[in-house]
Amino acid sequence: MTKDRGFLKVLIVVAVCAALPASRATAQAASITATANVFQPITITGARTLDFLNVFPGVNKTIAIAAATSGRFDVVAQASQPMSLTFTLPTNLTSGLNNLAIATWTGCWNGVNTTTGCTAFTPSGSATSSTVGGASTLFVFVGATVAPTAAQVAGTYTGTVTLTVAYI
Amino acid sequence: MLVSILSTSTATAQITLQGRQSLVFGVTLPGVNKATAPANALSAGQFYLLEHLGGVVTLTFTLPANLVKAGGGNLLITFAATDALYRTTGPGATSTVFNPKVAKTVTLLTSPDIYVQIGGTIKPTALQATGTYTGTITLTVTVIS
Repeated sequence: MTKDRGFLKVLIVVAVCAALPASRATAQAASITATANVFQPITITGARTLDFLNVFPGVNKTIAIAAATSGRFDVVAQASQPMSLTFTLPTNLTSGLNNLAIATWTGCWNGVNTTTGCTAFTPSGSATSSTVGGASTLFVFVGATVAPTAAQVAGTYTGTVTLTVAYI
Repeated sequence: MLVSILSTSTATAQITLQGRQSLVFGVTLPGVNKATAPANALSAGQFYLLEHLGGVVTLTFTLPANLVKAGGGNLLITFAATDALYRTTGPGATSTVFNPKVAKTVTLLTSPDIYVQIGGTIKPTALQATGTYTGTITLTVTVIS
């Protein structure tokens, strides 16, 4: 009889709880972070003209990146950040209707204003990775070789080298 | 004892909600607005919700008005009416765009789980100080049935 009463109590509890509507009104929360990095604007200065000086017909002439007349761009940007360097390069220098072919290009970048210890690369329309120096400066040096023909017409030949820099 | 266990599992054990991915704006320049779309797999913020097939839930965001820089400084962030979406999983998965500033009720008709993604736009001023700005986005999921 005692056992029967105990069993009956359990059954009642089960029956009552089963009859209650399941409580579905529940909530959970989760969070994520939103982040943005504000960098200083990039400034680029064409600091030095790439100058081949005097060139003679039929004689190639190379200006090395370490030469006093190599081209140089000065970049100021967010310190220590990776940057892409992309060039628009002429295939010829021109003097009126006459062309003077440019055979090859050389380049080098550094966080300080010297070619000593700089990182060499080949300037092109494809992006090259570089890194701004700790002082927010990046110096990009450009050299090249011109290839005058034996019949190259005398004159002053010019062209434009454009550097585009962007944060990576 | 047995009754108590059954009751607990019914009320809470079926919800899984996780913050899976931060909303990332990356590099931004002063004076230049930058937006991240909610469909951007790499940059949009993402939550994962697992409930049960046929379940009805309400999605409610708590959104920051600014991102904040350590040491001081605010960066305005805004959310447009199309800056959130949820997408179902499995074959025939679909995406539905919604307004993250308005609670959205969703019925889990085709899968028991969904991904909830959010984008936004930051609006740095021309004089915005450089640095890293962060904020918190919270998604609250209320199970209706």
